[in-house]
Amino acid sequence: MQAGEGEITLLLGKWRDGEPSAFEQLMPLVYPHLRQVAAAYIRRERNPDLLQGTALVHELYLRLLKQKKADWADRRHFYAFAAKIMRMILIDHARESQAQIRGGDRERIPLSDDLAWVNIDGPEILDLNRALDDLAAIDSEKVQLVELRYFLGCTAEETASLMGVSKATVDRDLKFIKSWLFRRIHPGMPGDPVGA
Amino acid sequence: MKQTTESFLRMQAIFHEALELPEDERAAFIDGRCLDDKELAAEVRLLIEASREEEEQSEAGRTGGSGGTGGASGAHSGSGADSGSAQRPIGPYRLDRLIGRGGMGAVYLAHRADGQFEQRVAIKLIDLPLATELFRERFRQERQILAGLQHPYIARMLDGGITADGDLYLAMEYVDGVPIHRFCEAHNLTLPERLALFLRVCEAVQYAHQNLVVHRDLKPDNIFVVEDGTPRLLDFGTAKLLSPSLGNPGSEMTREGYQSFTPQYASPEQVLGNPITTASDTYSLGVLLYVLVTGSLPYELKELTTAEMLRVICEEPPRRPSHEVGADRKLRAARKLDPDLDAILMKALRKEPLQRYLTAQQLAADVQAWLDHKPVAARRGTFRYRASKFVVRHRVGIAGATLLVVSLAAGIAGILWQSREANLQRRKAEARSADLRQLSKSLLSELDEAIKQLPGSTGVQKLLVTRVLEHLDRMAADAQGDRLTQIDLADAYTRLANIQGNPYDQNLGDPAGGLASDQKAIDLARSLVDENPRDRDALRALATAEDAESEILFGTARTQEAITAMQAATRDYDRLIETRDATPALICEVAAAYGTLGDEWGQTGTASLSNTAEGLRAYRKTIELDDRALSIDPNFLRARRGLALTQMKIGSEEMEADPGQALKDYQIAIEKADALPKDDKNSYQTMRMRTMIQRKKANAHVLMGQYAEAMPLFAQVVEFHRKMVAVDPQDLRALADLEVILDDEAVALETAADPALAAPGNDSKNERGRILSQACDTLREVVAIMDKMLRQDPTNENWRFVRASAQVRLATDESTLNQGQDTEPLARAGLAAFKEMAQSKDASAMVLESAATAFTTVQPASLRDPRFAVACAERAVDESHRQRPAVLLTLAQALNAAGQLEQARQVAKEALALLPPQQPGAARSNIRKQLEFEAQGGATVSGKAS
Repeated sequence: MQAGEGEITLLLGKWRDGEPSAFEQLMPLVYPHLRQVAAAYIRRERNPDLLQGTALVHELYLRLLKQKKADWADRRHFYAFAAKIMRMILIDHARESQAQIRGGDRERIPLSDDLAWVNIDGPEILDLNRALDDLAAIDSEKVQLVELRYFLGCTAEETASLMGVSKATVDRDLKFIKSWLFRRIHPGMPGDPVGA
Repeated sequence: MKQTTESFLRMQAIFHEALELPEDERAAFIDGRCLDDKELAAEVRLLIEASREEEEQSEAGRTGGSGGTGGASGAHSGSGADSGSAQRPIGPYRLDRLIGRGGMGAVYLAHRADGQFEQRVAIKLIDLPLATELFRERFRQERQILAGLQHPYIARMLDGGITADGDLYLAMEYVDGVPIHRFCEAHNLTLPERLALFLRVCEAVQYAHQNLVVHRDLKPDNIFVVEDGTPRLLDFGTAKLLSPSLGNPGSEMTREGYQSFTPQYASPEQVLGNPITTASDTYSLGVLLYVLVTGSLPYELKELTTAEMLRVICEEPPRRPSHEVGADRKLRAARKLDPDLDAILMKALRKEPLQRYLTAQQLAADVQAWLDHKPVAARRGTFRYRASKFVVRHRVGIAGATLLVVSLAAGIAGILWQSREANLQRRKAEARSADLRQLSKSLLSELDEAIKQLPGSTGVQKLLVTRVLEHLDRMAADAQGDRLTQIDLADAYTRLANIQGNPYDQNLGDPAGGLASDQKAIDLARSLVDENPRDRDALRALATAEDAESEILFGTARTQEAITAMQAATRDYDRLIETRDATPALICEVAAAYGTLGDEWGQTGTASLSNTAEGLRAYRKTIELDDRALSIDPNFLRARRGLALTQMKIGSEEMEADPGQALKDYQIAIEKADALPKDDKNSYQTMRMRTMIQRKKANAHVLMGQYAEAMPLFAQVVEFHRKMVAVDPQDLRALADLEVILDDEAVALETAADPALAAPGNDSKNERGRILSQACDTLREVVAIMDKMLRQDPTNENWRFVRASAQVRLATDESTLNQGQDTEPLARAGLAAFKEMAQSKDASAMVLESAATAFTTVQPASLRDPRFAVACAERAVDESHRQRPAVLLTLAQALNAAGQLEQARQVAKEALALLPPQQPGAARSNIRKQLEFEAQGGATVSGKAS
């Protein structure tokens, strides 16, 4: 169970190159922690001061650095990986809650304040998920941006630092992506020549 | 709406530029930039429209609106996002605000909302993703017990239940105070003042212990001090409530969960997942005292990995408090490096529960003595520090607990990941050294240990298995054509199968599920082998899976099928090791498979086919392979240990028909064990193996009628196991070991006292009476041990069987001695248990044989039931495939007692034919004497113990 020196660096590299086995090996590093975050989220106990995905990932990462299993240069990939797992967890949950229609009003919990029309267990998060899959075929970096910012809960500044761009660029990119995703999810808007 | 990256980027650029412009200029700008591409222009316009919509709806979402009209989210309405849980009614309470969050969930300040009375309470909402129905039921029961806990220093548990959403909650008295260490700092308490406060905490803990409630998570954050300077213990018993353990509700010992403690304050047994007693709270009180006295923790746990943390808690002695330079100068001056206070703290923090203060009261008494300048108990006498022993005996536990944290938390990912890791290590290993291979192999046992340590709840275990299985199935569907992943998957299925139902491992008792998982492993591996017969990795995976299949089948008594599966496994294994470069580790694995095959053919006391010849053949193959492994690496420990063990099995195989030969085998086995390297020889595991061989050797002497040789061996083995029990009287495994040897010793004494079997020179009536009364003493101890063990687990069939046998024999022996006791009730109790067990259609040959003997030989003779005995013995004979002379002897004796003399003679002759030819001049074994006696017509009654 112990990863050797630099092993995380190696695995992240393989993951980036699309090797599925690397994904499976990295998974246990972040999955349990993130599942806790997600569970709190889902139970509507979201309290950014107390529990945050980024903080946890940060802690995990520092530990790996300390153990020399990872390198500072891997930071971006590690966060990106964690964000992807977080997306998986939340989507899995949303699928489950969609499958079992619950009586009574559940409060809405927006995925992010900046993307507040997406409810974390509403049908729109599943739409969002599909739209992101489409987007991945066109521009996978943008998907990573969305995962970091909205699924893992990084601030715009953190996202910018991780992606190695300015905060202004992040804001600008997100503005476009949000519009694109919204349009993708709601194709029947008035004046649409293409239609659904 | 198919888009290319190029048009996407262009669209993005135009979008941003257009947004910079005033709204009324945008349309013209877009048309200009898009030139002839009308579609692109329309798309950008729509995107800008979408941008506005998106913002509106996001705004609506933030303020809790319905989410607009445009999209699917319109169907969703809510009561407001930022209100969070705050307005949610919880039972009769309404939450006011969040006041904290711990490992188990969030704590809220709340008030009663039903107007019955004004009361501020703390509500804990429990964060337990695996809360099963079973757990909920236990939760309901236990909170009743806790509600009864009323003490001025304990915050009361008021209520608890399940919210409309299905979450669990607890309502507790709200305590307006500060954690005890903060209080001490804030009020600048002197050392005596701190100790006085600590004594009150002890008082509250003692009260709870007297009510059989253990806190399990005592730490400053759970001990508040209110305005008037008195403490309030919070969260009493919630740790137990929150552990998904089934335990015995009436027992104070319950296996504990892992989530529900704080490592800094947790005792070694707690972090290892061993039974928790009040001594665990005493340990936590010790840590608290340490903190109050020195201002720091007894050890540093920050930034440690789980494994390191476990090591520190379980092995590292605490820092001597008097050497601890606390930040608090005032304390340092006041304490004056006091050795008595040191001794109190060191005793409270002992790693072994029994070396600590047994109760909070004893700890408090010593602290009080110190305050009164009296001698403290902690310094009276010195305690030999047994930490090394403790750690040796629990090392597997440490590894297991570490792994548990990973596998339970990571859930679905865990098992597959381990297989992958194992294979990764295997690949390295096969290229380099054999030792690494060994390591990966041990992962299996670690995982099993982890599963076993999953706090008692089969619900949780089953859930975990289901999750893993789902995950593996999904992976399998995706893994088409990916050879390495398929091999990993096959290994993972095999591991899972072992956890589900392999009787050779700790398992969940689900052999059917295990076989189903194993079949998947076999299918995956076989298809790869079919594709490429030279794929050695796949062949190994296949052999391993077949091996597991065989073991599981054997466990469900489908022995013939088990043998077929193991034969397939050994065929595949043989192909793997036919090359010259096979590693010792691999060869040993194959040797182990042959060992199991031997068990399946002939091992007594199991569902084997009782075919001694085939059993011996397989065991000899095991020895041959272990020898081959040793010829490559003479120091390969597993092979050397395997040799001793297999030699012992060979002896056991021969024991019944030819105890003289068995004696020789046991002698070789002991020599092999003694030849192990010193470190290994002194390990608990090896010492236990050696005493087991000695015990069997003693039994062989008894069967040869050589009682004088047997008795000193029994005495040595008994002494070893008594020592082990003394180390930890709660350790049931040690008790079981002691019970087995005492029981064997009693049988030996009974045999020596049997007029037909007594040794020449010791066969006077007086001498036999003396020996029989020794047997009675031994049996009384066996019964007492079994009573104790059965109190822990009343349903254990094997233990019930041992007790019943000991009861009947004790009653019979006492009745034979005729010293005036009324032995009938004891005999009746044993017979009743036998009857019930023997009437079950699953009764084993061992139970049936013992029942037959009991009903044939019991005293007073009025309790005998020869016809029932014959029925039992016949079933036992069938179960052992008419291959075991001892079982046939029992049948002959029962037939004789039932008056079926001719049949008895026939059966005895049949059994005699199974014995090896008697060598002229060699001693006759007891069984031969008894069978010849029965074959010649016997007396009216003859019994082993009469």
